[in-house]
Amino acid sequence: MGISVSKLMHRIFGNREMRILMLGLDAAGKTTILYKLKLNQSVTTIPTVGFNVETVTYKNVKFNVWDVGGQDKIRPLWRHYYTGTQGLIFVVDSADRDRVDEARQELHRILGDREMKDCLLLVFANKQDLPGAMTPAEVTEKLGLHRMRERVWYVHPSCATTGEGLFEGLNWLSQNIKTPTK
Amino acid sequence: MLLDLRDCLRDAPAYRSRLHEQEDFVGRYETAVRGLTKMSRAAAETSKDLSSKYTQFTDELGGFTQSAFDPTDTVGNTVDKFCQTIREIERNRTMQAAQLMDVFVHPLEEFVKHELQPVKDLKKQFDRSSDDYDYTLNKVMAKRPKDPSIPDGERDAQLCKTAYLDKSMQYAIALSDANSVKRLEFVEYVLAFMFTQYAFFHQGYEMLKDLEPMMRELTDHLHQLRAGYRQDIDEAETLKRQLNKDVAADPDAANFIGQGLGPEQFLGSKKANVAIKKSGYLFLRTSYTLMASWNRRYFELQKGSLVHCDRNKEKDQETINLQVSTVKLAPQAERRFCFEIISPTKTYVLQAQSERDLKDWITCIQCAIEQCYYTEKVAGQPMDSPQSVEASPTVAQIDPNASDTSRQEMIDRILAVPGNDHCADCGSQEPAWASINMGTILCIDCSGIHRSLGVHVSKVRSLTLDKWEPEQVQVMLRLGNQVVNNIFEACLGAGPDMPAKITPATPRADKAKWIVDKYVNKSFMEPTDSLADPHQSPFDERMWLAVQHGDLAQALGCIALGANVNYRNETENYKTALHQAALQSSYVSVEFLLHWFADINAVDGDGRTCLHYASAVDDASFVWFLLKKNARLDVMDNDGVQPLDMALEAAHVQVVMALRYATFLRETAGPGDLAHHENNFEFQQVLRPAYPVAPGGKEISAGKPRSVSEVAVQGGFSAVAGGHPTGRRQSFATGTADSAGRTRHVSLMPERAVRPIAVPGFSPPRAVPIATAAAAGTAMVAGGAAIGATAADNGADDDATPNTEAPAAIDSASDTDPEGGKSLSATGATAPVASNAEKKEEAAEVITLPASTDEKQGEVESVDEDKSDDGSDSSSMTDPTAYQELGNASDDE
Repeated sequence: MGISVSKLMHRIFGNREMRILMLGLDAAGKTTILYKLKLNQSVTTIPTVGFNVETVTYKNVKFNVWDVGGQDKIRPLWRHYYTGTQGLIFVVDSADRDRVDEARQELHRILGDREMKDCLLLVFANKQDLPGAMTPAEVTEKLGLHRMRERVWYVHPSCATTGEGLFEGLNWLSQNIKTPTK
Repeated sequence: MLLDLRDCLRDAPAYRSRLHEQEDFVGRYETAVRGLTKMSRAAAETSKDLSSKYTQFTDELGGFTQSAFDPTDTVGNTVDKFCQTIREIERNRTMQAAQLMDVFVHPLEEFVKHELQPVKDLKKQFDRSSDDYDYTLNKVMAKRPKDPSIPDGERDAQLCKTAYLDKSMQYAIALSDANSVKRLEFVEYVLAFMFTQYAFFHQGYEMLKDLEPMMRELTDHLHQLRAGYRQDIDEAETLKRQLNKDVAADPDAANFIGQGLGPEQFLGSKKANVAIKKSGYLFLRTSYTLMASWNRRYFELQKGSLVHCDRNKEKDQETINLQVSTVKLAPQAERRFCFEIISPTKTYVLQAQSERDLKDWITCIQCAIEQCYYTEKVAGQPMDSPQSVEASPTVAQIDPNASDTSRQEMIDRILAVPGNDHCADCGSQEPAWASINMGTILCIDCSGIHRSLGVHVSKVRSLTLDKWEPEQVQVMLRLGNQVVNNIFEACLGAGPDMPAKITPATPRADKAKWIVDKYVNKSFMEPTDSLADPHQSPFDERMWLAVQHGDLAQALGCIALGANVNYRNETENYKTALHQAALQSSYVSVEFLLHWFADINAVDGDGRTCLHYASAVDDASFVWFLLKKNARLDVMDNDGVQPLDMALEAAHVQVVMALRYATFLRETAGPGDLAHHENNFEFQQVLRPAYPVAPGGKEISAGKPRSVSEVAVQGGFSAVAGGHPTGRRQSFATGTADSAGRTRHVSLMPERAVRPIAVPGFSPPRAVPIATAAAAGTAMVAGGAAIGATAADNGADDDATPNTEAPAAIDSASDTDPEGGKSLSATGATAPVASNAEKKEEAAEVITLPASTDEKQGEVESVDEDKSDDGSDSSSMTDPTAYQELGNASDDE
């Protein structure tokens, strides 16, 4: 019954919109993911100074994806993008074991902000194609996700260049998006 | 024309007529004087009015001049003088009018009142007495001759006649007087009036005369100004013709004139000193629910933001913060030449007036945005969006090299390394990115390609936008584009098969392929076979030796050719290169090896990790550095000894603290939080300045403050690490020693029972904990003060020969036991090994003795001798056997 009602709502209201913020350390693969989702092709990127924003429609959900540069000095700017964010995609370079601690600190700092209190967390354990990449389980553990309470999170392995895992992640987001409060 | 008094007595009709004439004259005279007073009064009033009007006029004039001209300007000054003078003149005019009243009007009025009026009164009396006389005369003359009243009547008549004659003469005199003498008085008044007039005009003339030179000057000035304006007008005419011509040739030009530099000048230049200027009108789309309206607004690029306002309402501004904005074309908009500025909160759709204007705007805004990132201090900058409570501590703010100047210095030093002024791959100018494991500098395009290779090949950072650890900078300074390209491009262009180097203009895909060839396939390196000289050791060993000699370039070459970073050298007790680097306390070698995935927990033949090695040397900062790199604390060597045990045995108080603090943090705060917590104020005192760097860019691996005592002196910090007096439990404490030598315990943490520290070469009484704050704290301060000076001298001494024997530093301090008066001295010994490459950079430390009595000095000296014997016998404290010896010697349990 519930399902049929939501389907009905769906049919009436058509596309839903979702504001997604994509963050992560520099060189994690955020921009590559964004354009793989948008254009379905692997583009060669240069470091993002500033941000990119694109709309990706998948399964009737219009994802408004904000991809913000991840260099250390510009991370303090991230908070300007928090307002209205429904889902956070946190991208981790699974091959960069040296900096996974740094990634964890940044992730927890983001989630500690009160504007991000209710947003969904999708972690892409990216660059699975590289040798020595951490498994999603390893990434989960290193990011300390198990210790988090009151947070809907999901870790998915991905490879931005081939696009593997990306739409699965979006799928999870679209299924877990909160129905708008009446 | 006086009346004759004799005529008066006769009273002839002629006299009467003359009398009437005179009366008429006086009457006319009176009328005339009345008219005169009236007119002169009016004139005086008008004059006053005039002067007040003139005064108002000068006020007006002065006010205008002040507003229209600079007060320092000649014109303003002169006109001000003019006004003053005119005001003065008008003041005189008012006075003159008052004087006119005083000397003319009032006297005339008085004249009428006091001179003419009495005459008129006399006339009445005269007429009456004349009538009386006529009447009495008539009456007496009409009497009968016998009338008895005749004598009385005649007497009356006689009386009347006398009175009449008296009056008649009085009147005649008064009338004559009025007609002659008093008229002269009138002339006097006129004369006085004329003199006032003269005085007023004369004064005015004198005052104006003073102004004459100024008036001439102003005239000349006016001529000059007029000539100047004419020239300006001519120029404006010329410009107008030119502009008309320009616009006629290119209708779009109006949008670009007066913009200063064209956008092409900004391209690629991220320098802060190039101010991007762009302003002009754009249409801004304002969207409502159903329809959009487009408003023409004036936009101007200002530092870091785009400000726009209405043409007629300059105050009504809106500012777009460009630092969190991006700009792009909006081809799907319903109008032509549209672009978007997207900020997290709002999207602005703007329309330019032409294709060229559009491109110009986009380029300028893009440059302005980039400039925000490269030049602004990002962190801590006030932003327009609401502050979130938790957002305050950011990494960038904690970052010790966050200050702009030190960062710029760092960048300048890195860019000064040979070859670093161009991108290592494509050779483009102004590279701002780096590969920290390759030690090369790249442009942003090539850095993008490097990032796609994965961190096992290249680790990319921005020189400006990333955090740089001092060690990373050192690696960059050791390598550099020229050195690294000599390895990776050794054969480039050598043979016919070799491709040429790429250029900035090479297509992106070709660049990517070339870079993969260079770094992944290593196609341009010298072929491995030609290097595989049978007489030379294999790459692994060569890499090991290169690290030992601090030759990172060669080490990099060997790693590129396939050397195993974790190679264990059998001839050297199975030490890895990392062990070797740790022995030398070489931050830069450790950093480099870790970039290439050296295992920080690799063990040597005795089962010891590099942390074991570091813990045996009294250098807490280096130990902490390894701990930050995730060195494990719990690795036991073949004898079951952990790094902490080693530090305890060697009585390296600061090292013990560092190890315990790390243990504590790992247990409580989770892994990898060490870097985050090292800013703990108390703990900072333990670490010496992270990475002292000489101005010449040379690494000084041993910083000046080296010894425990000196650190203590610097921070006023005393570490307590010792056995509990009861001997059952040991506690970890950090604290600050106050001047009285007491310790304020800041944090305590239970520790597993460890044997109390024993100081080599000195056996303390069993019950006295070494680091009882009272003794150790003050002792350290006493001993360290002397060392501070000498160590600093030596640190600066670059001429120290490479072969200097490993210097042994012995910090001695003595203090008197408050109770027994017995001398208690704490001695810490350090003998860091300086191997070939590092040695000359190591600050030599010198044995320093505290000033004390002869007796005490003797004691201390003997201790020193023991110590140096130890050091020279084993020649290197880092020899594993040396640990053993030391450990045994100092173990007094």
